Amino acid sequence: MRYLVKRAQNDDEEAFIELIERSKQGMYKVAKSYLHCEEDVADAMQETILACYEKIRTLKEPDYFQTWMIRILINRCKDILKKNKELRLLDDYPERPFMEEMQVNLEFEELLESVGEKYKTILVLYYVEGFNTREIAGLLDMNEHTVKTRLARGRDKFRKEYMRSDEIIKECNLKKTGYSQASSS
Amino acid sequence: MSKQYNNEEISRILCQDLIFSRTINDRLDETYALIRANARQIREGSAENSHRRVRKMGRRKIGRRLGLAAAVMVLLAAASLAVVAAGGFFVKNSSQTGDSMTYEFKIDYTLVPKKFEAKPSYLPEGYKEWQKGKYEKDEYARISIRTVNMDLMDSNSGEFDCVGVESVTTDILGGMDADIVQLKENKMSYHPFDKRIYLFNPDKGYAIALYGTDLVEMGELKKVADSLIVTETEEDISYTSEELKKIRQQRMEEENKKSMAANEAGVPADAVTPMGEEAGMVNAQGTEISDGVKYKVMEVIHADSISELPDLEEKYFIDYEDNSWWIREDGTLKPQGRVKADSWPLTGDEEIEQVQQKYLLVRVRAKNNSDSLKMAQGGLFAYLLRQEEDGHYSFMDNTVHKQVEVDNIQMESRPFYFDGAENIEGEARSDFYYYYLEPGEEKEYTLIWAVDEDVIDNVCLMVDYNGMYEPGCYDNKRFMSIK
Repeated sequence: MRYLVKRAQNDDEEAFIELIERSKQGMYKVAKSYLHCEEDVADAMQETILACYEKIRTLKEPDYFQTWMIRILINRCKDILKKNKELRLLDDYPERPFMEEMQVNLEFEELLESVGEKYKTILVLYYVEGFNTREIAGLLDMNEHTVKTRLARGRDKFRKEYMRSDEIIKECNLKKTGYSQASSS
Repeated sequence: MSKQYNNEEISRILCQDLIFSRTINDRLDETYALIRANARQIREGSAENSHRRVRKMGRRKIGRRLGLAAAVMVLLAAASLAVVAAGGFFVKNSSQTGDSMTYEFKIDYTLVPKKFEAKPSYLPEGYKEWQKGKYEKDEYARISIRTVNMDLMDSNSGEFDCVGVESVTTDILGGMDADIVQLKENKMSYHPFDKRIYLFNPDKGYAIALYGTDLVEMGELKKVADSLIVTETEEDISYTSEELKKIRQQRMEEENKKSMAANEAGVPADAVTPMGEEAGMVNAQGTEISDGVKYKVMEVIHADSISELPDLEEKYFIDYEDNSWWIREDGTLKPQGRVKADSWPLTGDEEIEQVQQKYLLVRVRAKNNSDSLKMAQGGLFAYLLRQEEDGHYSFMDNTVHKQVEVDNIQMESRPFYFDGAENIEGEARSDFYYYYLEPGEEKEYTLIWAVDEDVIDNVCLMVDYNGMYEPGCYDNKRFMSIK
């Protein structure tokens, strides 16, 4: 990735686009931890990509590209949250329904929603982007101790929700087969 | 019995690849096309599309931003043509002026296009797909294949434009009209994508763009193009509505105006702390974080030779082996190559001037004024500001430091030497500039940069964690004067 960053800084737009292609999953997940509407997520991602494209020469250490980009994305997401009512636009793009392949998205979104606003971005930055607690503190302008606490609490809530949803699925499956069994706590 | 869940399961759910909606995919495609169009605009410096220069050159950021707006306007103007093509989805018009190629498409909007996907049935030896549409033998030998469906062709006709063209030939490949483009050697880019093959299928309503780096032979790229398998999907394509195009254009223009205004404003005088006074980090609103670490410049030395500086230790260089290449036997710094932005946009043919550098040594004291452990930043960022008569500071980022294929001693703004570093062993060096201060603790240390001798008096230090700084936009940062 360092090599791609350097090429991008040397006006190689294809290298820059490759950088974004490699990063887009993480970007999407971080944006989804802030924003609910796909159009808003698309806005945040587009604005971030364009901002990174403009400013990539100012990035002095290529190894910090990911941190730098995520920071920009988080700021964009916060801007959109603030201005949501003004910038929400009518769009005649119908959102097509997805088939089974979207189950993976539903699983991700439902569990993230279940842990609450305070925790989800931290979880995504930790697990998806691989940042450590110090880096997350820097990205979110938080005290590192706060990050560690929320990470632990978020994991705990996550486990409980996952356990609950898994047991509900089991209960449903048991009922389908004609058996019933009290769920265990 | 309770089930035990561990971090692997949490990680699995969060880390699995998500499926992007069409909204996201379309937006990504649009963004990439804008970037490609802008790159073309910058390389050819097309005056007819330019509000891009309303000021003197040297504002790389503004140039790119305005270039993007200009590109969007050109693309939108092209897309508003609604001409019935004879028996096809589009009519292609291409023209070459000097070493620039431009493409225009007249689209039949009465026909409903489908989505197509192209995949190669032949790849040169050793190439493998590493991502959808991208194939590589190694990090330098690469091929990209991109299917341009009608919606993308409509919104981003600049997709195919290119500058620096050495030769264009035509052929029939895969049963389609093909433009085979060889770009000139680009000295400013390392192993660039210098080959392109464009395939056009107006009957079915798609085009395909293949890109190859300089390590890919054109003959091989032609074979790939000739062997593509193109699949028609069931998915219909929708063109972007005129209303949405206008809204996006308006938004782009508003952003540009905002950026230009920020650039004009520069840095206010009260954002630059005089030497000898304390400065701390600021939040996004520009308010100093009172419960944090404060920094103070204690001493500044300009030196021609390392022998004029206090004894330095290898372990406190960011990368001693790399850094020492820059230091001559007599202790002076080697000059670095610099291209002035007066010649913007860069074509790769600019003369690189050799500029002598000096050592800039700054002694800094950091103090934790809070009652809890705090992380501090040793790698303060050195930027060039020029103070104007009314006291505010203008941005001076008007040159591109470029030593072809060799990095500078530092990445331009962070010091190459920091003797307060605590993370100096093994992998911990990735946190080289960061350290912790106990409540009330003070720490003094030395930072050293290499600065072009003709601008060394314009250096100001920025107090920030990550150096996210736009040249040309103040962005509420805090600076410290060192004179």
